[in-house]
Order: sequence, then structure tokens, then C-alpha cells
Amino acid sequence: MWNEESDWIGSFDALLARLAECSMCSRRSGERPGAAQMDVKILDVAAEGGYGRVFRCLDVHTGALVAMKQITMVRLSQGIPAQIIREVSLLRELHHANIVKLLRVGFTENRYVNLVFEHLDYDLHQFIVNRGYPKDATTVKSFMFQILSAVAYCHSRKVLHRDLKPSNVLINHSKRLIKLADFGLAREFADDFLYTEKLGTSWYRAPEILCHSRQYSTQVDLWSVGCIFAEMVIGQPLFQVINCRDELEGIFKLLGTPTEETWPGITKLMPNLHIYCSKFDPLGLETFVTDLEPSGLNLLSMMLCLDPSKRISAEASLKHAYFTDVNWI
Amino acid sequence: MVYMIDRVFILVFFYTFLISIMSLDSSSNHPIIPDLYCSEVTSEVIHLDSDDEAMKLNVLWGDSDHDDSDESILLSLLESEHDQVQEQTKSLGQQLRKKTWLINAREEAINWILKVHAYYSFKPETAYLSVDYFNRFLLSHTLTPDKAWPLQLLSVACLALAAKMEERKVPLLLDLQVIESRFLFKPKTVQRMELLVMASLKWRLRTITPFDFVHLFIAKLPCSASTWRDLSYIVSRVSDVIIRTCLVMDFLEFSPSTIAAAALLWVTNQCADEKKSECFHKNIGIEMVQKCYKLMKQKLIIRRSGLYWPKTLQLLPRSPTCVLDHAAAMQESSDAHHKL
Repeated sequence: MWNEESDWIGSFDALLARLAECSMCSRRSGERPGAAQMDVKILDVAAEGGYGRVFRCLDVHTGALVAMKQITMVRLSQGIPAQIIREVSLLRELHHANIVKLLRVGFTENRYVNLVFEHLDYDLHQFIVNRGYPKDATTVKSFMFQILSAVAYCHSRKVLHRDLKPSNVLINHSKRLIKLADFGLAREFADDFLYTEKLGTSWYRAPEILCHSRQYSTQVDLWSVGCIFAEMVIGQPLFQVINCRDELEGIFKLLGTPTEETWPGITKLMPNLHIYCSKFDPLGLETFVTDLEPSGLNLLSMMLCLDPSKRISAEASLKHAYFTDVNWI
Repeated sequence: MVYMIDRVFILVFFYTFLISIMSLDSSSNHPIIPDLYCSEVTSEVIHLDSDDEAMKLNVLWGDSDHDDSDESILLSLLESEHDQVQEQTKSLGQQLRKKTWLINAREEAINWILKVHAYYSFKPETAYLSVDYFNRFLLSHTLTPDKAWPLQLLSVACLALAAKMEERKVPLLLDLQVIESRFLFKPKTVQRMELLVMASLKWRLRTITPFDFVHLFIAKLPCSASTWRDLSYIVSRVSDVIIRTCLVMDFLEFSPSTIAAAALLWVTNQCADEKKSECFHKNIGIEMVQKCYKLMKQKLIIRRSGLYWPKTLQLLPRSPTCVLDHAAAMQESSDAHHKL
């Protein structure tokens, strides 16, 4: 038994090694696994998260800056984590100027998966916090147009992002170019399917998710984009500003507690709604989102719409009057 | 979803109108209908069973806004499909035919995948993707015929990957192997195989499947389902046919959109003639749909009596004998068409 098993693993490893040389990452004989195997030179650690680490690197061949996301594979009983499989597989099919480009994929000693991405200077969260939010109305409009272009493209490819927030929006400084990143929670959507509950960072989570609905679709991304829109205008997370017990209460304070009339189906979705919170009259978006032109406020109100079926789509947003006066130079 | 609701309402309205027309009192006291439009509609109703009139009705039911949206999605899917090197799987059929042992082993492996799929009530897409990964891997690797365990390991890895792509909850790697497995692989071994498969497929696991097209094609079909019950019934039967194609190597020749179109025509008991194929999309080849349809007829053992009858036929004043005659006529028409 041991000999037979050893034979499997031996031939298996040999096959794996041979394939590794033919796959997306080329490997030179004798080199140790890790950064060298990915043909990058590590400069420093750019970020750390629950998934692993992101390194800032130099591409050995081109000399260009790249970002290598190293994901630790734990819980061997499950094999390769679904998040990695989805992120890579979906990014391999998404080709858009406003979506981060995945350059190479490799694995190390069956412990790490390394994803090499194009490098961008910073993310939108850093942009808002460190440099003051983009007070320039043109920048806000340009950023919003690019974000919506990427989201519309994803949705036309039947892909939900499901975790849109400023830290997942990357920026190329010199070009003022936006790229969506982190598709670890992304997945292909189907109209008749139930999805995992409670995804994404809380401040950007759509009300239908917070209500524990598992039937949701592209509209959840539009809600998140609306939150990003507001944050770019006011300089901080919209639902951080509103004093509330939790995000759902904050939403209801802002937009008014939903009724069967304003959100058909809400009483079935939340039978205990009247117990959950008081009946709020809407404070209104204009109370918090000042300094936004009327057409922008109109677009924002259609994104931050309680009823998902009435929320504007990404494709329709791009045709909104807010964008008609933009001159793309 | 809104689009589907709109269409159902339109269909319900149309059927109500149809029934009221049929129940009109023809006594001399009733005034002649003065509205020419109503007369025209009446004329169309009388010839509802003809293809030409059915196509016209499709125009009546059309919703321009939603059609535009569906059309762009369909075009996007067809572009992605074309991009995903369909040529590769075509050559797989040729390669497989040279190795008798692999044909049998492949069928056994796919049968195992389908059993686990049924046991865990996975989505149809999961089954199709598992087989897709399996086929594509076989293209790039030669396996020795004297050992059975590599194909079993490959089956487990492909099913695990497909489940992770599609399912909300994925069983543990060991639990996936509880169904009639001759070998039991350690999770670490399966993980290695997963990596091997993903690298071999260049991490392109988001594959276009026939299921991506089914709802879009149903919306285009004239005399389509009129109620939710009928719609889910059609989708269920079409899914069953699509999964059965995984077991037959000859279907590797066809693109997912072709399989979806042929399966839908088959389930709704319609001939795969030019008009039916063209109404799906101009980029979908008529000849290939016809060829695929014919292959379904030959290979898939599904009795006609189990197929779905378009609702409209049942609303017409026909006796059971007339219905059977009509079915026979369609069968003859289909045979005659294929002889040409």
C-alpha cells in the first residue's frame, strides 16, 4: 500500500512539476519557489488581510510595478478555497479598462496561491481619507462614470461583484484611471437562485441583504455604488454619519421606514419590521449630501432606492443626465 | 424578473382576448365588428397553427426595451462563447474515438459525477461544468490505460471545482466521495489535482454553458410558455436533455448555444427548421442546430409523449384525434425535412 501510494504521489508530483513549467508562470530549473517562481522581486508589503498579504513587486522581465496577492490555503479538507477559484476564473473572463488586470497565477508548495496584478497607486479609500475627498466635481463625475462602466460590464457578463467599497476601487494617479478590484466574493448570478447572506462591508451593504433576503441580484452592486458616490461627495461613509444602532436602522432613518406601498413584499421579508424599529419619516439624502448638483442628487436617489426592483441599473445610470455634460478629454 | 412578469401579463391578456373571440355569439342580432384591427387579429387567430402567423404573434408580444437588453446580453454571451476556444473540444471527440478504453472509462466517470450531483441536489450547471473541465483536461493530458484511479481522482477534482464555482454550500472533499467510489483520496491529494486541473485549464473555469442561453431563447420562442408552471417545466426538461448530452461524445462537436437551441426545440416538440433557428440569433448556425437536433433524436431516449405541448394548441377547438394527427404531421414534416 505504501509503495503504491508513493508511486501515485511521485508520478503525480512529476506531472505537476512538468505542468507548472507549461502553465501561466514559467519556472526556471533550480530556482526556489516563491517570488522568484512568479518572476517578481518583492519590494514591500502593501496590505494585509484575512486572506493573506499583498506585496508591491517589480516584474523581473518588464521592470514594471506589480502587485502580488498571496493567499494562504488553509483547511485542507476543502481543497482550494472557492473564493480563489471564483476570483481568478471570473477575472480571466473580464476584460475591461476599468477592471484590474490579472497578469499571472501560480502556486507555491501547495500552501500559497499567488495572483499577480497590475499595480495601481492607491485605492479610493486612501484617496478620500489622506488627500481630502475629491472636492472637484469633475473628478467625482469621472470616477463615477468609470465605476459604473465597469459594473455595467460585469453585469452584462452576468457577474455580481458583491463587495464594492472604496478600498476595492483602485486609482492610477497620473491618469485618474479607476479599476475595480477584489472579486473574491464575485459570482455569476442567476435569476432563480438563493445566494449567501450577509456579504460585503456593512456600510455598503444593500437593504435587501440586511433584511436577510437571499434572493438578490445586480441591484446590490448599485446600492454599494450609491454609497461610494455619496462618500466621494461628503468625504466619509454615508451611513457612518447617520447615528444609528445598525446599518438597517440608518437606512430607514435616511429614506424612511419602508411600507408595503414603498417596498412591495417588505412585510413578508421582514414580518417583525414594526418591532425591529420605529416608523421613521425620511430625513432625505439632501440633508447629508450637500454640494451635489441636482442631477447628481437625482441619480444618487435612484441608486439608494429601498425597493431593489425600482433601483436604477448600471447601464441606465450611464445614460443619466448627470453624465451628459461630461467632456472626456 | 420584471420582464418575465410583463410578458406573462401580455400573454394572459392575449388568451383572454382569444377566448372572448371564440365565444362570440354569431347570431344575426349581434352587430358586425366594425374595428378592422379586431378583424385582422381574428384572422391571425384562425391560422395560429401556421408558422407564419406564429412569427407575427411574436412581434405582437415583443417588448422593445427588454428585447434590446436581452439582445445585448445574448450577443455578449455569444462573444464569450466564441472566445473560449470551442475548437479544442471538437478535436477531443476525434481523439477519444481512437481509444476504446477511454470512451468507456470516461462514460463511467461522468456517470459517477452525475450520481453525486443527484445525491447532493446540485444545480444543472454544476454537472455540466464538471464534465466540461473533465473533457478539457483530457485534451491536454495522456493517461495510462492500466490504472483506473487517475480518472476517478480527476472526476472528484472536477466536481469539487464546479461545485465551488456554482454552489452556495460545498461538501467536504471526503464527503464528495461517499457515492460508489472505488478509491478514496485524501483531501491533500484532491487539492493537488484541483491545482493541476486549474493550471491545465489556465484558470478559465467560468465557462459559458447551454444554461446561460435557455431563458433568453425561451423568451424568443413563439407560442412560448404562458404560466410560471409551464416555464419551470420547460426549463426542467431542457436541463435534463442538456445534461444527457454530457454522456454522448458526439455532442462535443456543438457549441453551448447550439445545444441550448436544439434542446429547447426538442422539448417544445418543434421542428428545427430555418425559421425556428433564425429567431434565436443570426449568429447561431442553422445547420449546426439541425444537426444537433437530429443527434438528440437519435441518441437521447426520451419518449415524445413526455414532451411539453405548447399551450396554444390546447386552446384551439381540436379533438384528441386532431391533436394526434397534428403530432404525426409534425413528425412526418420533421422526417421529410431531414431527408432533404
